[in-house]
Order: sequence, then C-alpha cells, then structure tokens
Amino acid sequence: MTIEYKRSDLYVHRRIGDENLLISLQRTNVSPMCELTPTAADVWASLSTWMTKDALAAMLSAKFDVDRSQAAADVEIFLHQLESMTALTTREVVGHE
Amino acid sequence: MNDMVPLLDRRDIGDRLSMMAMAKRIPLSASVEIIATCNFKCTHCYIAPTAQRGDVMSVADAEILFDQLASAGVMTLLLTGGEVFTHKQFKEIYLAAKRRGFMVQMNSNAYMIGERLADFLAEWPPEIVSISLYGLSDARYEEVTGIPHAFGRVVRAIDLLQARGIRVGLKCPAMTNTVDELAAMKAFAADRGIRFTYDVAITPQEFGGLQPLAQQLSPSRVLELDIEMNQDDQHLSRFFTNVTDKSASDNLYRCGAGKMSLAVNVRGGVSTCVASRQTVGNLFDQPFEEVWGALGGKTSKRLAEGHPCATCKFRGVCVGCPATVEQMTGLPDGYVQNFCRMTHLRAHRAGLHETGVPRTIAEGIPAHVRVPSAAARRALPVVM
Repeated sequence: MTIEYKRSDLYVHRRIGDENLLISLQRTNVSPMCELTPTAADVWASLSTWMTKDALAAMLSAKFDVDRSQAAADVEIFLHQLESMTALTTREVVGHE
Repeated sequence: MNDMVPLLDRRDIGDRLSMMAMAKRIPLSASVEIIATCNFKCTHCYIAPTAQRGDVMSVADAEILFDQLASAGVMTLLLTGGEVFTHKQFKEIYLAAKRRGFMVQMNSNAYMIGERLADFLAEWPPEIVSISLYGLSDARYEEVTGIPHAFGRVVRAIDLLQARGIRVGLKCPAMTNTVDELAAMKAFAADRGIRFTYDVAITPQEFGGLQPLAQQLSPSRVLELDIEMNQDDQHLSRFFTNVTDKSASDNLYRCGAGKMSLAVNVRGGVSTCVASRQTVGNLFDQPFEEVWGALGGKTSKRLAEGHPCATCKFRGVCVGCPATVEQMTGLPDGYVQNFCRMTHLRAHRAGLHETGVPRTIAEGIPAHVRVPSAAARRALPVVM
C-alpha cells in the first residue's frame, strides 16, 4: 500500500516578483497567506498530480543535486506542514512499492 | 531546507512586497469596476448617475482581465462599482478572482447582503468588505441615496458579515447631508469594533455633471469636523509632522498609482485609481505592458515650474490629489483652491502654518495652471 499526495485546490500559488506565496481560498487554521521557498514552490508545482514521497524526493534530489535521504527528510517535513494546513489530499494506492 | 514560513502577521511580507513593487513597478494592487450601475441614487455619486444599462462586465471579460492582472503581479484586487452585489454574475466573478489567488476586497453599500450572500462570503472570505454608510436612520438614508428603508438592511448586513467573521470597514463621504451624523457614525462603527473613515473631497460626475459639488463642505466646516471627530491637536500635529515634506517635491503623483497600483473601469479602461475617470488605454484592446507603460508615463510627470503646489510642503497631506484635481479641472496638475484652503487650515491648527491661508489667495494662481470651470467654482462653497 502506498500513499500518494496531491495539493488541495483550495490553495493557490502566486509568484509576485521573487516571492512565492501560497494563498488560501477559504478559512484555515493558519495565516491566509504563507511564504514558500523556491524549493517548496517546486514541490508544490509537482503536487498538481498524485505523487509519492519517494517520487518527490527523487525529483528534488535530481533537480537540486542533494543527497536523496536529505531530500526525503525535507519532503517529509514539508508534506507534514501542508497537511496541518489542510492543503493536501491523500489516497492509498495498492501495488506501488 | 526551511520550506515554508507560515505568516502569522502579514505586515512583514506586505512591506517587502510593497518595496519590491515600488522598485520594480509591479502592480501589486488593482481595482476593477465590474458594474457601473447601482441600486442607490446618491446625491454625491460621480459614477452611477451617468452609467448605462450595458455598463456591466461579463464573466468572460472579467476572467480575461484577471488573467492579465495575475500575470502582471497583482496581489490585492478590489472589486467595485456601481454596486457590486447587483451584478447578476457576482458570485462567478468573485470566485474567478479568488481562484486566481487574489486577496479580494470589495466596496459595497451592503443593501443586497442577506443570509445567503453572507454565507457565501463566509465560505469564500474576502480580505475586507468596505461598506459605505450614509447615515444612522432610514430618513437620512433616503435623503442621501433616494432609497427608503435602507438603513435597517445595511445594519443587518453588517451584523451578518461580522457574525461570520468577515472583516468590515465603514466609510462615509463628509458632505452637507451627512456631516452632522459623522461623529455618531464613528461611534456606531467603534461599538462594533469597525474602523470608520471619511473623505472630504467631493468631485463632479464622470462627463462633468456638477450636481455632487452642492454637497461639498466648506474649508472651515471641514476644520470643525476634524475637531468633532476627535482629531485632537496632538494627533493632528503628529500626523502632519510625519508626512509633511522636509523639502517639497515637483513629482505630480506621490502615491502608488502607476507604480504599484491601477484601476480598471467596467469597459476595460485603465486609470490611476477609482477617483480618476480619465483612462490611458484599454486592457480589452491592448497588451497589459502597453497600458501599464502609458500609465507610468502619466504618473511620472512633474509639476510645471511656477506651479503653486511644486513648493508646498503639505502636499503629502493635501485634501486634493491628482485624481480629484483632475476630476475638478480636467487635468491632474490643475489647482483647486478649496482643497488647498482645507489643507492649510488643518496645517494652521496643527501649528505648522502661521495663518492657514494659502499664498495663492494673495498671489493669485499662475495663468498656465488650470482651475475648475466658472460653473464648478459657482457650485462649490465659498472658500473660507
């Protein structure tokens, strides 16, 4: 059983100049506007389709030339933050390992 | 990597965005007039009395506009009118704006806001609903707006919004038929924890109708109003000291217009702000960059040599601005003695001007500086 993640459509990413912002369309338990690093913005863009943690980590590792385990740890933290904001949807998929 | 920084206080990112926007000329905020007609018939209005039935923005046109504005970097989007809630596709337009990630604000008279609309806004909250308040009774409302039994509906609307946690602002134009209730309106707002503002500059209608000017307060009445509204001397002095130029500037536009903000009317015409009806281009006909460039050209102009405002250290707090002066004279670098007198009276009260009398009273206004027409000057209160 594998868990896949996809971003919620109740949040919108806006790039204004050099700033990456995540805007909530509805009421949330955190600020209606959050700031993303460029790396987080890349992960958010990837979450437009269903993605596993491994796939996200692989993407980051390849794009930013970082250690795979470090990338996986960062993805874990970021997904947890998004979940706490209800900015993610998840599903369980059978058969992907 | 610290991937995300939830912002509990938006002011820090807001300051950074504003600095970046001013430096790079990014239009951080925009107003969009989605309808020019209104359900009220206010005596002072400069838009709705001359609006046509067809002055309504379609959802398709709004989406085209929103895409342009989002690409350009607009963050804060003010939906305005006319009365926005009379637009039959208001919800579609509003959601189109929200889904593009704008921080949406609205101007409204609130008359149309009932439970269903309040519930809709609670589900998709705006940054703020800025409500124009026209008095504290049905009788006063009818006098100003021409609509009977309106006050009760507006109060109910305010209560519905606040009960749903939607931020509300209240404002009123300070004019002859509202001035006696402004202090009470401020108290009404304060009782609800709402900020109340008022504006003392009344301008002619789009296309020149002078009827609103009959509502303009005289400069001395404006000063009395400041006192009534508890603009205490210390507050006023602090305000003036903070914003008074240490050295005057001949920059015509001193606000963010054309640098980090713009206004779009119902036909797609672009101007500096909602107070200006003179457009520099049209976003339905021209690329955004072309129109934004034209707006920047207009707002980068300087006052001509010898213009009385070029050497005035109170320009930062002047009652008049290029948009209101433009409405009064036809040019943003005109001169309106009424506005000047109000500002100087305030400066005198703050201890920053000896007499409160602008030097133009004694020296006259240079011939090359446009002033309001003779008819407009007759429609205004005597400059006192």
